[in-house]
Amino acid sequence: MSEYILEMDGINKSFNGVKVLKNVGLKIKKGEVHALVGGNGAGKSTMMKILTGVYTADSGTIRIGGDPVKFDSAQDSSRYGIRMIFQELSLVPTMTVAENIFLNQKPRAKGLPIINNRQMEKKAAELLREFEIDLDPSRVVNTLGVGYCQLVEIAKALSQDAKILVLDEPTASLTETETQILFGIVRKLKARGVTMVYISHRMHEIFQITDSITIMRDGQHIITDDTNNFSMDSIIHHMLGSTTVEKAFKRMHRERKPSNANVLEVKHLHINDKLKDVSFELKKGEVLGFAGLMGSGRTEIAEAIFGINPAKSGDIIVDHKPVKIRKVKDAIDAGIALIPEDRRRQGLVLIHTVKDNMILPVVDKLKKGLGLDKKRVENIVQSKIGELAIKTDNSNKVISLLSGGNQQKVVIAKWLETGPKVLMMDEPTAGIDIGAKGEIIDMIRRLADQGNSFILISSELSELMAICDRIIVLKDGRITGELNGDDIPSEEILQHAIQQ
Amino acid sequence: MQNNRSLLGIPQGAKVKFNFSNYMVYIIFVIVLLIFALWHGEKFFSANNILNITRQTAMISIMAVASTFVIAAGQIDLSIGSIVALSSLVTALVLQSTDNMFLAIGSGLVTGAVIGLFNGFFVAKIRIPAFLVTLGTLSLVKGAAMWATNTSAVPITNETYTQIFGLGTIGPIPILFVWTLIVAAIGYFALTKLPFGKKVLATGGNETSAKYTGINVARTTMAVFVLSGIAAAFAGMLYAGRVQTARYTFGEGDELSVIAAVILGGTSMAGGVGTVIGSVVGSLLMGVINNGLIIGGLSVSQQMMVRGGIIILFVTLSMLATRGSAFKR
Repeated sequence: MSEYILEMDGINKSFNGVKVLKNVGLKIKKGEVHALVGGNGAGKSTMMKILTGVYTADSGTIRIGGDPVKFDSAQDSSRYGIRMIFQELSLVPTMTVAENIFLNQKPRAKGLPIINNRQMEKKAAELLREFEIDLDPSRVVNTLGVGYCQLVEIAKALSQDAKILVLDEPTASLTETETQILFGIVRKLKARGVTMVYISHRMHEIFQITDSITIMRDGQHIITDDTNNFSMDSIIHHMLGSTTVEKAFKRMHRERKPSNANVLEVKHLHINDKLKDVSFELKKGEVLGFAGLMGSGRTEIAEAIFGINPAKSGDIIVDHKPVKIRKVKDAIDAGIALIPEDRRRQGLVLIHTVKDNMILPVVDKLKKGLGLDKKRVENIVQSKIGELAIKTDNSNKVISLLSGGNQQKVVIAKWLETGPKVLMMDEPTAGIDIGAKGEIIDMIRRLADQGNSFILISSELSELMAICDRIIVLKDGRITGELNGDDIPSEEILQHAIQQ
Repeated sequence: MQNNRSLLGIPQGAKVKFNFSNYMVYIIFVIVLLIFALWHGEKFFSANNILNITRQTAMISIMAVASTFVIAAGQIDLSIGSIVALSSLVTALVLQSTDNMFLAIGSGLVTGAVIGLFNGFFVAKIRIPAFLVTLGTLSLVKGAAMWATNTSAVPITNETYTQIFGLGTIGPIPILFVWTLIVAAIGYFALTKLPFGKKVLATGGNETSAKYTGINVARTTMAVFVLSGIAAAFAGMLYAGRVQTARYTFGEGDELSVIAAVILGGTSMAGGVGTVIGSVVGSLLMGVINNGLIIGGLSVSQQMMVRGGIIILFVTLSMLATRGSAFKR
């Protein structure tokens, strides 16, 4: 028997012709807690979905305890005792805690195909007590907070024998107390010999709980070593790399400096219980970055300004005129646009054509006589396709057939056409390949030089560093810092600012 | 290219590439015509009978045009049959007591619009599934129709009314068919050429994205229900004009024919894709089937069974063509 319980070797995987995993290897020793670290799009989640049988690798081998295995479905990997706690919770909200834990394996009354509820709740209670989770198994899940849901999720994974447990950002929605409960569970499982893969962006957790670390970047394996041999700086350095990314995202001198006039002022915005007092301003021609971890409030601020979930109080001032924003239409009329975080769900109607998507925000202005002004529609669509170099056979192509990068360009085109004074972009390069990322970064740079004003929300620090004139750092709903884009010596400094 | 597509009633918003399923309703239509031609010969293909079919299907066609908007917006309206009944009675009663045709027409249409607004309010503002709301409305409005005259029929003696809204002809063309063409033209234009149509399709295609684009999703949803209510009210007025009487039984079961016609025509039950012309052809198809079965001498009970079976068969065919196979998704 080999020293390693899990060996993944030479794993390759492509989606729509984009290679997301390139010859990746991962070796994990029995009984250890192994951290898997990397930026967004590094390939961590894809790697784990291959391990759990959700995806099938294009090539490569998986060995469990030295024996080669082949997983075609989640059930296959489950048979080998591999369990994963997904970021998206997989609980049924209308069922009780006990019912959820035993969703696939409800205890039966003797010899009858009837569920024995009392026995099920008893077993669930035992399980919860064992891991010191203080929770009534008969509670309905939708009455629980997110943190407890995460714990129920873990209990569910443990209700069947687990040999390898994958935890994907398990603390993202947990409070400090709940995190400590989770760590208690991790330690207990480790003592029992369960091997764990721990995915997290939180450095101090990685040092606190893991034995060894594998770092991935751009779909490649970078390094694996004991946690003791790393420092926070060295992890960040390995995560970000130096050569390829830097070339595409090199900071350039702005052709035209932002003016001193404020195009947008936000004063004491009260959005929800977390974001109670947000103030900042954006200058004309400026690119303002929002940096912060997921859940720091970046998206909520943009959505409040755009009228998706309007702020409860506070002032929004566009071009020195106060504006009331109660719905999206108000924001558009005030000259504000938002490229939303989730392109497929929020940005586009996927079953419709490039043309129909592009003219949707301005369709009311294109009326001529009784119908739409065909010539203007055609002009708009053709000029935007040319201007943004959108690759499509013709404008009547259904947008779901375009690549992610080109889809995103259509979303940008549709908002540029409204002639916005303020263009907010929430993760504009998420899920698109590196070439298209570079193009979009270049596009923002060019448009800003023409005097357009941007708010750029991004988890990719290299992106923020490449084009932002100023960067606001957000943590737990508060603005904790502001950096001048020209004065950031290294990505490590920015990463530190966000983490601390 | 785009023009030909929309004229052939190919769903707006669907793929440009040739897609067999887009033409399914026409293919089925031709096949059904052939079958009845072989079965009944001249009896079926006489000018008289064909005009008769257009007369019989006018109301279903008109409601199908409006339901195309409802279904393309991702909703459904099951209450149309009862709106038909109530509006026909309201129109006839107002006509009986005032003999003012415009007032009567206005009252009938407003009845439909108000019921549509009621549906739309609960669906868009309170966010109750349209299926439940309109099922409730179906019963509510049907009850109101029965109560209004204590289930007795109301005769219409105003001849101008019955000529314009039922019995008249323009040359050899029945006025009912002329109404169908007018409503279909308006519907076609609104869905393909107006901003409103684009908003309806966007709302049905992806409500979240529509909201993030600044479209007033609630207002759009309410608008399609109001349209549907008005169209059903108009259909009720035509039913009444044709037989010179209003009855609470008018429109009974029409929602089935209308929804089947719209889906057969190529409008997507999932929303976001709709074709007005497909819906009209779909209702003509339903009318041809009814007519062919009657000429074939089937009893009412037999007709019902055959009609139900045929709807399931044809919708299956058209879904299979869309998906490629029944078992692959």
